[in-house]
Amino acid sequence: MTGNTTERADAVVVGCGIAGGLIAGRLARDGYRVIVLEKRPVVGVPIRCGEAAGSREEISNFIPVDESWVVADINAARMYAPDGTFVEKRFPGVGLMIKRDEFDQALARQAQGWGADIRTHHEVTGLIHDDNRVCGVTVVRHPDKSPYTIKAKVTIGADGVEGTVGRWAGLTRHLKPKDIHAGIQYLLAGEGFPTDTIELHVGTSVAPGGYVWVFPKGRRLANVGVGIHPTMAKNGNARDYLDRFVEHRYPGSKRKALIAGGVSGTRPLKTMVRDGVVLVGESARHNNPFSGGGIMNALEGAEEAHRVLTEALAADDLSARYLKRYDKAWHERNGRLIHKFALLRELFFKLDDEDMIKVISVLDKIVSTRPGKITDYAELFRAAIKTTPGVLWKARRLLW
Amino acid sequence: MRERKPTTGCRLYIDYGECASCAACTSVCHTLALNMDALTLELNRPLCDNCSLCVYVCPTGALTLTEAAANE
Repeated sequence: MTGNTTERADAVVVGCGIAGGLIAGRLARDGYRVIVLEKRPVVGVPIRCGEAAGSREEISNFIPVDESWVVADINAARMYAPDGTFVEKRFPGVGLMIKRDEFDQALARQAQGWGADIRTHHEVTGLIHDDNRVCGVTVVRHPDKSPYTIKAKVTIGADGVEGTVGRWAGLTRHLKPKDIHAGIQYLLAGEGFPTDTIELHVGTSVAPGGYVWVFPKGRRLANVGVGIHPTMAKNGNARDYLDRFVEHRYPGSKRKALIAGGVSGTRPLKTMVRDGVVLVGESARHNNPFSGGGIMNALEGAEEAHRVLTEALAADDLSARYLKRYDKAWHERNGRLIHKFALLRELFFKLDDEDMIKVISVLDKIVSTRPGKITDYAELFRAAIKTTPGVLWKARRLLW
Repeated sequence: MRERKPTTGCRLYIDYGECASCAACTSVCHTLALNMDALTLELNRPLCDNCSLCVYVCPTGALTLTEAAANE
């Protein structure tokens, strides 16, 4: 396509990550004409993720699990306090470590198999309006930047934390420093990594306002990363914090790759829809603001959006009024929980090292005395907060 | 969006050797001066008001505000 050609589609999906790949596939499977525009040259590359996903059962609701993109089973989580004490809880089969690049590509191939037209190295440059309705996008094809347009009944923003579609549509604003964590991760090769346990380290000097994670990536490999809250970091940037941690805990290790990313920690959006526009995935702030995790949330949110959109397209009603069913459905499925985690995050910022040591000690008692009762870690933290002296007071305005 | 008049030209310097194309900076840029073009960070200098949110948030330290950059 060269020059100013205009194409038509039922749905145009901006971004071919997890949410984009899933919703494009399902709408194509329903018979709609779907065009996906991915500005990067290759789907899923570079990886910008800790790569810890849900269980095989959860993932298979969206795509058959293919062992070629599975790296390890996660059967336990361990959280370290600033003084080196820790709490560990075994959750057999709770999750999988995956290769995000191959996983995203598998979702894209699944979507293509169902008829979605996926274009890589094509970048959306703006929205087209008709009255107050968004009716399509302007695109450039890299590397020559030749422009064209696509008119579509619905434009789906699936463009991640950058979320430009949401900003152009007036649904999101720029993130404020208090709303974002600066994250950086090394793929480390070395000794002493866990094999089926995800490890988290908290502490004001190791990860101000956030945590360090050590996620197994196979034989003598691990994703080791840190998310810090920029307003609370006194000693350099995220990379400085990670380098200090790695040199201290894994001194002989080799850094094989570096990735970085911003993680939004906001409460849910008031609405994710406008006439002719819908947001999914991280661009709709679906990720967990406390843990930063977003893989399952992206899949589930895209599923909810697909359910409403497939009917909206059939009824030829892409008005905000109709599409708000998606706001409601998502709120019921995940939004309320995301809101709780946003509050937990705000509480977490108030904890000093002593508080963290106490909370982890309380968590350890709960886990060892009532192991079978804890299945939801939001409730686990809630119980710990209520029973830890000093922390309950700090949480007084935030408790749910 | 609050209007902020820039007092000098944009002083943002991007060290492309350190930039990991993570786009944390574009997420906090309130004027949309920063944009991730495929995998390359682009800066629209006239839109930048030196608010330094991007410098603050950058995980690798690739962004700084310098007088030299303002003179380019």
